[in-house]
Amino acid sequence: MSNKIKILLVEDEEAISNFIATTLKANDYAVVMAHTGKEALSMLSSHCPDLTLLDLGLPDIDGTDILQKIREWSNIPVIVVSARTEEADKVNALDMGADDYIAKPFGTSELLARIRTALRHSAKTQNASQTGNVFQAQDLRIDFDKRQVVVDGKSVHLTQIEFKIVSLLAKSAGRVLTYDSIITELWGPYAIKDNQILRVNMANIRRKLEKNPAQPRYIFTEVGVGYRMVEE
Amino acid sequence: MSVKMNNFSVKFRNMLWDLGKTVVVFFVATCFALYLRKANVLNDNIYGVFMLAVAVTSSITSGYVWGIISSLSGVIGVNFFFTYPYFAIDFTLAGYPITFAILLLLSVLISALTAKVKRAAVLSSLRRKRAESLNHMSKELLSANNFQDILQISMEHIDAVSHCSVILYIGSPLNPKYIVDKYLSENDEKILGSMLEKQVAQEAYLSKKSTGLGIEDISQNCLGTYIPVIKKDEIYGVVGLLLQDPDYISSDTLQYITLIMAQVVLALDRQEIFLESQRILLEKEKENMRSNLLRAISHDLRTPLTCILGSSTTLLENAHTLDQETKRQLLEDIHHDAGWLIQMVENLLSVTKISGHDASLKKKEEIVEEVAEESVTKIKKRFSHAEICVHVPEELLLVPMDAMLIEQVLINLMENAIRHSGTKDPIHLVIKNTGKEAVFSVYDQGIGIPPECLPHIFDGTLPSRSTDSARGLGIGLPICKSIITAHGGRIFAENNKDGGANFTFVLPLKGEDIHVQ
Repeated sequence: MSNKIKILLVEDEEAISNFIATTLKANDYAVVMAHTGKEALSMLSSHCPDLTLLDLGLPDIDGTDILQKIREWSNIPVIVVSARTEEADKVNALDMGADDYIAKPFGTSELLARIRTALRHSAKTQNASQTGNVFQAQDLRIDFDKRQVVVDGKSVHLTQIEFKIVSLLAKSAGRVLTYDSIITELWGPYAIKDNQILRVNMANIRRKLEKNPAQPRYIFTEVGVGYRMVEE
Repeated sequence: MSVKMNNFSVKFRNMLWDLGKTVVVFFVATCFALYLRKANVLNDNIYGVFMLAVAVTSSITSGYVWGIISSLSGVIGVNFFFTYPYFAIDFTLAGYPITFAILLLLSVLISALTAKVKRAAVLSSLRRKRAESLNHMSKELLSANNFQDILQISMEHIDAVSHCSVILYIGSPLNPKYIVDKYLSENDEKILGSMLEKQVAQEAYLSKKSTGLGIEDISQNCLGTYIPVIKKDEIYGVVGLLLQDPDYISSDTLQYITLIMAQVVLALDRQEIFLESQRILLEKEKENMRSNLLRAISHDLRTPLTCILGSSTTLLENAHTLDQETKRQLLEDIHHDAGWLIQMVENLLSVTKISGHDASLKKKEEIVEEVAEESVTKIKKRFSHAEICVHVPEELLLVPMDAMLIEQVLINLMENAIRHSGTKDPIHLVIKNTGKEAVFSVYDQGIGIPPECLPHIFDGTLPSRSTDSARGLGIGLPICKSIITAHGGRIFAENNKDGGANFTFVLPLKGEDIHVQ
């Protein structure tokens, strides 16, 4: 009982929290529910959940404020759930430290996949030494030590920058990396936040890795937000 | 300076010309009189001949001077040639002062008359010219269709009248809505652009009276002359003139400029009314579209909601009596219709994006394959069985667009193809670059579109809904059309020769921003 993974679900809408809780329980997670921001903050410290599903539209405190407060003292994975569809909201939440973002309406399989990814990443960061030196997804294989990328058994030549982008995405496979976070990682915090260069690089990478750039198998675009590397 | 020199030489030439005329007339008259005397006819009318000479001189020369000289010479001539003692001057002759006075009076009278007639002729020709030019300007103004053109035309005309640098402010000169100007030199530009001049112009704007150089009340040492543009006590702006020669300002010119400006104000008013009516028309059209949309929405919402409500009620109330298979079917129906409702909501969101109040599209250069990819990914989430082949250009293609909206269009088109083509054959999404435009085509290999529906397919008013056994094509296509139109592109539907419907839309690669109100 006690070794079930515990998820804090912060959601004010009864029907939605019901269905999410049911799904999660059915998939063998332990669920604690909070319906307001205050409740959420107190439960976070008392229950020490392994992951938080956070709705941005709460009656008392704005979700982004809660996210900020959580990030002041905790590294717990947070997946933001919101009905806001503007790209700016997604980017904002991700840049404020959310691990992932899922927009309403969503399917349960998608939600579960995101939860698994977030948990896996938090596990990886906790024992960082275990991070493998090789990334494998379908027919894509990246060897970080040899700086080698192999697709369908064939070695692909990437430029320095392209390799950096690909390995960055691979290291957080399954999660969206925003344009800004990639640019900061690659060119430093003072680089001009112009994502055009990044996107052109990405277009080149896609042409090298994917058979059909418009139907990618490995790197997916969230237009206006960032990129996501496939996980498995 | 050269202008003055020029003026002077012209005057001098005119003077010489008049002198010549006077001398010739006098010479001819004297000869004629001498002949008359020799022939011994009409001896008494010698004075008459000279009177005629004076009259002719006065009327063909300009000013009084030549007439007076002519009468003087006439008196002396008569005295010299025709009165005893002949060929000698004798002023003691009786009646001489009277003759002289008569001739003098005659010349003055005639000169005055001719001068008047000439001035009248000059004035009338000037007025005719102005009337013509005003007429011409009105015609030009009629064909002008924006504010800038109207102002430019009026300025050209003011310039033609006044031959100097002109500046035209519409609105307060210190904070004008429009400025048009024409400078003869850079120096003029500096002068008229200076703060002092603007202040004087502002004064004309506020007091609604002409100010500046040449106007009676000169309090500032400015160089420009400013005339307010007024219609019915309402001030529109100020015309500023930088006149070369302040003496040149006649009230006539000022009046004429006022007249020009009255025309301009009329034209500006007309333009404003035109724009307003355009706006109202657009508003009406939008209102029409909105109500059409609302009708379509309420119709299209009712069907899936009925299904969801009905199925869920059945499940709740008859949970025990239903067999497993029926339950599953009902749940699947609910799931399907909920998905449909979500799509509808996404469409409605796009509508609010393009018809909101501050609705200008947030166009950014997007890489087409990314947009195509995301829309295909989204549609695959809902229709996992659907097969979609995407072809994008080999080279990188950047198109200015609002990615969310174009994705919505692609999703709508692909969803229509999946739902209505009636086959499971793959759907094709092809993107091409023609150099000027990006062409997006979505086509299937299904039953195609009934020909009678083609003309109305985008306006949401399908002639017969009965042909559409599913719940109508809904609001998807009208929304696609408004999205594409808002991008400055075109969308059209056709049936492929070898079967299947083909929806194509075209986006400009480097378009001007189109503002949608």
